[in-house]
Amino acid sequence: MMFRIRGWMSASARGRVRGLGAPVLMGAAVLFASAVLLLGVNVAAMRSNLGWIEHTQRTLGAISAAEAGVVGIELTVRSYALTGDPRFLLFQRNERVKLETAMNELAGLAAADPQLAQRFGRIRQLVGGHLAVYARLTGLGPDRAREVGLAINDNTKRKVTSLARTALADLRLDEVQVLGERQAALTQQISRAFVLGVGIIVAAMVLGGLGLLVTRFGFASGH
Amino acid sequence: MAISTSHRMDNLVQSGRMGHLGGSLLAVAVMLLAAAAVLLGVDISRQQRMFNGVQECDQELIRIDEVERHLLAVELTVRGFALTDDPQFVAYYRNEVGQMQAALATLASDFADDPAPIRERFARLQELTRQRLDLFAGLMALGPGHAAAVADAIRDPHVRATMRAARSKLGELRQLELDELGDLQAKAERQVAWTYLQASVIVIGAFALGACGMVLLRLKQP
Repeated sequence: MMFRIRGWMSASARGRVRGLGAPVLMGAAVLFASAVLLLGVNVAAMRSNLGWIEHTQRTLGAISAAEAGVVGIELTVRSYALTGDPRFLLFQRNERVKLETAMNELAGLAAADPQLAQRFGRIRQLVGGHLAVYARLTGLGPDRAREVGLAINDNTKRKVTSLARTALADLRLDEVQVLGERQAALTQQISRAFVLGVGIIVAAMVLGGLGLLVTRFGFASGH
Repeated sequence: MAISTSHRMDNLVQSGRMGHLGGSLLAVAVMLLAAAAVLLGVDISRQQRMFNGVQECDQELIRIDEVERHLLAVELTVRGFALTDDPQFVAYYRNEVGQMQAALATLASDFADDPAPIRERFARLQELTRQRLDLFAGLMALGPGHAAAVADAIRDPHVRATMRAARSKLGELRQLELDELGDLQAKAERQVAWTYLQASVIVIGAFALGACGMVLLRLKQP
């Protein structure tokens, strides 16, 4: 093959091809280095995405805990109204502590995401309004089942309490969607990393082989 | 000393052994690159599997929270009905029970492939949830005007234990899933770093060997 090319090409053309060997090899090295760099950037993006997925998972956990806390407080208020049992006041305090812990965790998580932070500010207000309604009902004291029953059916109070629950539920649904999107992006990144990795290897082999062929051809023609 | 080394190199070049070595090094470089491609493929498919596990855990955690939310909501509607006698609460109650049973059914199919300890805990959770729902169904069946009976049930230590048991089993399941999720995520993150390191080292090694091979082949030229 080499001899056939040598016979077919003029001496000046052979010289030009010989001169191409080093630039092709250099090009292979540059391409190769940029591809490794690109793979590194892709891997860094994958790691950052994994971090955000973890952030969303923790946000979802905190939202669920806050939702359970909100409902837990409502439960204890209704139980206290029905039974007059002071143990329910203690349970209510526990639920408040759990809710506060969940809200603080959510605040910390929202700080890393400006959009979430803005939304969380509004939710905090709504949860505050919800807590105020139930604190007033608890403040009525034991055996106030009738008043609590009326408050539950009162549209204004109902709106305040349902607003907090709805806002938390909406946030949860949106975060579930965000989690799905981030997971899909990560799946794509994993496939891209594979294609990129294999692409680098194939390109390095092809360009290296080409450079080698040209260099060898140059050596052979030089004999 | 320098002269004798240079003499020996000249002899090696003259004998054509350098060219031979250069060709071998290039062949090794090609083999290393091919091995890198295979290793990268294996690592990335392992990452994909691990990541599927993370997604499954996420889904299961979302469902566990869903079951807990509906469980609490059922309890809330029973008390709401007892306090108000408003028939709207009967509709809310039915809706919540339906949604909870649907969430439990989905969770059952999610857990079908999970390890035995998780499946056993889930089976126990189903039993405890059934007991809890039976209890609430009994209270709702009393109809309006039975606030005192509901209050007695809420105070009853046996009833309270039944209500607590279902929630605590849900908490156990959630913790197991969270542990598994944390484990999988840590592994996935390590795997990403390892894959990159491995690919880089092999590819750089192959490139260095290839370059050595090229230099040796050039030495072959008189």
